[in-house]
Amino acid sequence: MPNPTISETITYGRISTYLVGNSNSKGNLFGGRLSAPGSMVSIAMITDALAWGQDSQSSQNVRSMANYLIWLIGMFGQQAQYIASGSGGGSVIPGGGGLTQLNFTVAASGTTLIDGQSSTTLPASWAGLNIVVNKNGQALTQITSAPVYYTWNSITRLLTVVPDAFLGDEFQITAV
Amino acid sequence: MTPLFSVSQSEITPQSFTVTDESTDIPGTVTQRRLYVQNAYGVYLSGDGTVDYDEWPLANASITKSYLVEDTAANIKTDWLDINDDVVETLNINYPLSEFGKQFFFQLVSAQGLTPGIYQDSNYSGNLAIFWSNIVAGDNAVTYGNSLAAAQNCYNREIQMMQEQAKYF
Repeated sequence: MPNPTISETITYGRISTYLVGNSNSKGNLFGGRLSAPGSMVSIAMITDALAWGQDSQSSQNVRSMANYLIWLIGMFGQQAQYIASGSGGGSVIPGGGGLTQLNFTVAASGTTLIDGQSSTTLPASWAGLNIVVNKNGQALTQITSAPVYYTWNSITRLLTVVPDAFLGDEFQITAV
Repeated sequence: MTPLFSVSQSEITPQSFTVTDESTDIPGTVTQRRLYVQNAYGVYLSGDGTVDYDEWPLANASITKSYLVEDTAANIKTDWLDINDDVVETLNINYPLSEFGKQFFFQLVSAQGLTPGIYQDSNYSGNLAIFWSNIVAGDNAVTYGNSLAAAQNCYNREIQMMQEQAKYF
């Protein structure tokens, strides 16, 4: 199995945060867990650091931090990989009522991306937001050398997917 | 039709959240709309005890409800129905409604300005980090893992820290 991409590692880190937290809180009846518990605080912090640095730091540094996170989440990373292959839930933006998530199945017309289309401009409420894109249950990377990826410009709100959207593809776009 | 809605939660009054209908191509056969809100324990927060839903008139693009009492991982469902009460379209999505904890976290950090030395107290700073990461973890459990139970477990830990704040902070 190849190393997870940086985007995948960030997703696994986010999922592992709650897996580790819930695991650590088990076992109170017969005392604490015997194995050394991982720290959900460390995982949450390092995941954010990686997410914030992935586009600004050198690829070597980013890869090093991703490897550190993979080591830190340990066995929970495998569980996270399985969970990430499913579809996620919604996210809530505090205050105003902007769009936070788009779910659609590519059709010949009338959907955010139509059959054969590779790019679209999302509504104005998405300006300035970071997004994650799932396609057919798989989180897409932003690394353009990958065979399947997306690019997102939060200023122009232009979303581009490679390859082109195909009839029946299920997309989930979530603001994060 | 393409059913779609978004959810926002008030920062000022976290017990309130707003659901906004973003659907397109709603057919003329749709004459009514209903909102269902269920927590991680399967309990309906919506409804009046007789029915499990809140009526959401089609004339209103959004509906605001104020029945949250603590951070809640919720399943929110909207049904679009015809005149015979038959469901034409339905959509349900899990949402992390965690604004109670986030506002408490903000107040804690604000209060540090009054007693700056408190951050040197390792119990305080450690508990603050645990409190924060439980909120983040709960949100992640819904947004990435789509699990209400896992999220509510995380929220319950930070809710307990809020309820016993004199002990932790």
